[in-house]
Amino acid sequence: MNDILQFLAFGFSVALQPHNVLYAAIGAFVGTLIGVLPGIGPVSGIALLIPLIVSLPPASAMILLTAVYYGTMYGGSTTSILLNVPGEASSVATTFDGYQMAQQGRAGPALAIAAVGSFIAGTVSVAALMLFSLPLAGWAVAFGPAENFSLMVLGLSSVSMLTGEHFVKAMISTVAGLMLATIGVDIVSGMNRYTFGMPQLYDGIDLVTGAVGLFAVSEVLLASNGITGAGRVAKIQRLWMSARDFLDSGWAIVRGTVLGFYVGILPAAGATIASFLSYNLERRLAKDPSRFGKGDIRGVAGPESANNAAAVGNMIPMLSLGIPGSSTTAVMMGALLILNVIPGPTLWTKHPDVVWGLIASMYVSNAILLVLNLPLVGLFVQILKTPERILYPIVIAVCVIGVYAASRSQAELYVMLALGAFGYYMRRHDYPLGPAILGLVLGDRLEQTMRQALIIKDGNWAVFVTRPLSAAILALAGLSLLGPLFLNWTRARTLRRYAAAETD
Amino acid sequence: MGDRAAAAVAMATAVFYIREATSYRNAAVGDVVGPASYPILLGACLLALGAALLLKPGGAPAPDQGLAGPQAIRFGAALGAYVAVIEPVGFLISTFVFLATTILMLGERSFVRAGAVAAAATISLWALFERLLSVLLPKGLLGPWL
Repeated sequence: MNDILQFLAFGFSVALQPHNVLYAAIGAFVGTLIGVLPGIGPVSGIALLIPLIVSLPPASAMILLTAVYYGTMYGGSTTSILLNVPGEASSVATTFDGYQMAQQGRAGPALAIAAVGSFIAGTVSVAALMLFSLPLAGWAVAFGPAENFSLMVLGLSSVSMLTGEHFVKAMISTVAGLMLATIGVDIVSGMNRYTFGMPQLYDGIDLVTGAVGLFAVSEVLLASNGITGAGRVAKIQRLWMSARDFLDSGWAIVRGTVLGFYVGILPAAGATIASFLSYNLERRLAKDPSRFGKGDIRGVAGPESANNAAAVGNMIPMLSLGIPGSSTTAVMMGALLILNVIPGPTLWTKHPDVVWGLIASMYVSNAILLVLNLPLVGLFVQILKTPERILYPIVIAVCVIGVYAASRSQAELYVMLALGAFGYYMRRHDYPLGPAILGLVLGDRLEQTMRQALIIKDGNWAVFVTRPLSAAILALAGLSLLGPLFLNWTRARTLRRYAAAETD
Repeated sequence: MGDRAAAAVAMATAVFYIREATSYRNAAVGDVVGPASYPILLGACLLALGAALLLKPGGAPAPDQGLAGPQAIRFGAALGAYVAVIEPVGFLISTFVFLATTILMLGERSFVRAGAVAAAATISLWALFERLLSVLLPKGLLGPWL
């Protein structure tokens, strides 16, 4: 425990350096902007920033990206409440009661409780993250290639299980991502694979190109089909809540935090599911569940706390095992790899400044967001009022700049375009995109660990099941097939009930 | 393209992908696995998944919202043209034309407003990325004057 406090103090000494505080503030602002804007979510937003941060020291770069990640969470809830448009999937549950509150002239308290709940949840779960990650990393440091391979299989399988309604499609998305990752030079043999003689492909598909093409371009293309003109933004009368509002939602925040954190640790479960589970829980525990869906503040406080706590919990597998649990953490992990920092158990000993600086900066960005968010709501509302016909083309131009900046190559822009079309098809036909990006990020390491494990055992494929830990992890991957049945069921039920409540 | 057609495409891709992989010969000493095994494994997975999709296509029918086609295709085509000319023509000109065109395409009525917004956005983006963040953007035709 004492160790942790010492490390944390060291982390704060990194995070509180003036330039790092500045990066956290910039990240928080940009992140909120990304969260508010339609068409750019945390995945593509973080990916677009990668080219700009490669020249920064790794600690500063990660502080900035983490602040962006946090900011998108806050921004997503702002649009949910004011516009009934969830900026991110994880704030869908917030629309149920948040928008209703806004309609009743209580947008201010809704925004305030979302910010306060997020702040409390974020701060508490960062403390829990420290307690969990260090032992986990200490344990995982002894893993051999076989265990790491099995862990990645577990990560990939559980992500595809949880993100889609249709299991086969989710798996196809995973395999597609893994296949995209095989393009380029094979590190072991030095052979070009799937480059078809095009030198532009030797380096493989850049993560920035992949994330921006699959996520941002496809989303803007899809959204351009249904341009409706700017939505109606609810008026904000009073930008703070009463003591009663806070007392009413206190327990919802506590429960949302605990629930969200644990759900967040599970690979792939993540913020979206956490927010739905929390909404359900609050509704079930309420003495008067009929108020839910009609502007109950607990319906905002619970999910908002849960999704922030889950965002933190999500970082645990990435930081301690090197296995991202969601598409957003996958992109952050990709950024770490680009910065030459290998995430996973060795991170804690080799780059303590990165990992503890990042953890301390989560406290810092939480505080910055709490202070920054409410006064700037007016500005973000103005941005929201920008018509989509102007916003979307500019978002696309930013994507082009970002991809070009990362590679300085026109060929990469064509790849972005092709992946944009591919992502467009996937979105329209219910293929989840998260597994694909996870596959793209993990592909190289998956193959490397597989080959290392096999080389050690002279090509004996049984190595993955004869080592007990590896076998156990693979068995868990098999078990993860059952989890989504339950979670999908809860989610579907929440949505159904909400729909029913609306028609009442 | 419905789920069955997509399944067929996935299976064809898998076959092509595996065939390509079988041409990779092991070159490194001590590499018992070689560069082909992993791709073959992936290809086999895709083949099996494709077959599964063929037998049991998606639960819900593909969400065709009627509108889906034309706007996105036009927008995508404009993006394709933009990407094709950005290096030879340069960032400033191509971005201005792309923005002005697509803003009009997506429903702006006033040519003047589309042009003004496109010009303002192009210059702000250029100032932000090229000047402030020192991202090198293609100069193209305006090269001599930038």
